[in-house]
Amino acid sequence: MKFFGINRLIGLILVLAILPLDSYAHGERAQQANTRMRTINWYDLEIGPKNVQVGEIVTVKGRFRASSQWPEEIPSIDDRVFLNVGTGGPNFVRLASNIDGVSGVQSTSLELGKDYSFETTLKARKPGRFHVHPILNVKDAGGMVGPGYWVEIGGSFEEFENSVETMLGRTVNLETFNLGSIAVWHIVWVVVGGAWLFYWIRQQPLLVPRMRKVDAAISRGDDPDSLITPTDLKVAIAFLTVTLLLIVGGFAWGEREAPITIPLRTAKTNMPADKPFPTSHVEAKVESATYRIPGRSFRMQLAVVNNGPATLQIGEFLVANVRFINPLVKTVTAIDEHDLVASEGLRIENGAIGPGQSKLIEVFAEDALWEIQRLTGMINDPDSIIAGLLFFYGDDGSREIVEIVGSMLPVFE
Amino acid sequence: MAASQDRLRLARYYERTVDVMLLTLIIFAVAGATIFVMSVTIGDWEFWADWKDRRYWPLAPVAALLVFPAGISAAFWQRFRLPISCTAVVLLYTVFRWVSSYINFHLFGGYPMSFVWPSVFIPLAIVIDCSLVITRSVFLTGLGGAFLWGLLVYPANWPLLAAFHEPLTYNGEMLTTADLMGFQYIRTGLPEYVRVVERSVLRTFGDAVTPLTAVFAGFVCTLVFYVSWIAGSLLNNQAWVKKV
Repeated sequence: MKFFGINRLIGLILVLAILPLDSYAHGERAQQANTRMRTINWYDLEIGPKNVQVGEIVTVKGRFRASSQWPEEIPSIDDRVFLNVGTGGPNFVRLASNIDGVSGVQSTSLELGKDYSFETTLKARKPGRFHVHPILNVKDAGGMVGPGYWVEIGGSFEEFENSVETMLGRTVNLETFNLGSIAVWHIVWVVVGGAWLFYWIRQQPLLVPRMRKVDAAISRGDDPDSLITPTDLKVAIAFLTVTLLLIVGGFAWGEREAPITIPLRTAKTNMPADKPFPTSHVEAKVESATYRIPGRSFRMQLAVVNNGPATLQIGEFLVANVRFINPLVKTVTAIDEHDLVASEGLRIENGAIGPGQSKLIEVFAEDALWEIQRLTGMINDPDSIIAGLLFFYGDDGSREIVEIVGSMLPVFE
Repeated sequence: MAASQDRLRLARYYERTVDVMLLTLIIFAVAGATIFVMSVTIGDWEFWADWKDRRYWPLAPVAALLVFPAGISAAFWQRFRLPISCTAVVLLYTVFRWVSSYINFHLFGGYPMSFVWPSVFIPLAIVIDCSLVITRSVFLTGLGGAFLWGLLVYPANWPLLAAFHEPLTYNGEMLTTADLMGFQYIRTGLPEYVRVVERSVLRTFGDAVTPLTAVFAGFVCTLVFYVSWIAGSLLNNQAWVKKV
């Protein structure tokens, strides 16, 4: 007894120790590095305000570029995509969303290699602290998760209201919509079903005597259906009649309550067909790329051509949602403890590129985020291809965005 | 005389114990298996308000749900001439489904109950059990009761569902109330396009999607009933059990 008591205590402690007490993210690091680098590149992301009360508005907006290097084994965005939000459940309600101004209520399709702006308007619903991400759900491929920021919701859930008006002029609260009818009809059927069961099982004992009678009837060559009495028959007819009448009556009642109904909406929204591909004054080609594992150091040699009017410098390297920032060009500080920013993670040698100039430059991206975000996992990928966006900043305030791609070689010592 | 009465009382006590144990074990086990199978196969249709369409929801869940109740009906009818197992399994299934929706999706997931309510199936089960008593024929029960099981799922749920198909305008688009709930109450891993719902009208029979689906569901359910009944009869065969 004592032995079992100790065992139970140890078991309880182990269970409590391994149970997650809280969840802080949505598995955004779980996706293969390869997938994160070569699918959706999210940038200029703004999520705010970071502190709101229940019922107040939070906006998630920014831009994304659908990588032209999309892995061929992953279903692409040209079938169906849906702009979504990762918030760990309906802690917000989504009031509106759009991609390039086109409503995102229904799913749509996009094109690889193109830039899109997006915006989602949320209304805070439940108090708490939530990590909010933009997500692009891609049919048959899953969610492509963008970077997330923490949003704190204060107040009380009881203050939340979500009313809409139907085209028939009825104002309904979606939090409790039609719940009365749902509960009443379920109770009605549980009562009717329970009454049917009670009629049959009220006689005790039930199974063994009936089994004996059935066996006896069969062994005598009689019909075991004789166990069904005339009263049973009348009761069954009564129950069938009541059931059918309730179904017909309920249907008529439903028709009266909602005289005009439409089927569920599933039309696909089309994006404008003439959207151009993004252009740039810069051409950049990866000549070589290595990742030195002990030093968590990524090095890339780029052949860059500047066809623009301004002298350019690389200010940011965006890869799989991680932003490596060149502190000599721009200052970016992490907004919260999970912001994927290496504020001084980018170092450029031979960096400034004048108008019309072609040169080889060395790019070093060094930060623990390579390991933390599991980007070095691409060493285990079958192709070990690295892809991302380079942000060039001109001395005239301009910005050029270039997508790069290349094979990465690991250095093990 | 007293000893004989004692033996009779003891026999009745054991028979009542067998009743309780068998009924509890069989019905709960089958209802539990039903909710598990439904959850991992066609669960989404069964509770999300914006999955309850007029083409697939009145067909797939009702056909899948009939498998276990029809199979266990074979055993209860052949052994005991008891027409209760359809109703018992579906009633317990409904109770389990409410508990699951309330705990998993409302309390834990945070969705309003009005968005994740279980469908009504109990009247369909009563129809089958009553058909068995009235016809005392498996063939006619399949032809009539099981057909009605598929045919009546839409009207049986309409008093609950109709309001969710009421139109509204939202950001310039016409939606049903169910669609709006699906858009507003965020499901990270369940985007709009994942729904297996009607995406265009049928090319024939005009716009008669609902009645056509209902009749087809009735036909499918008749077949499911016969197949499940035969499977239930085979599994109920004692000779087969003895070999094991």
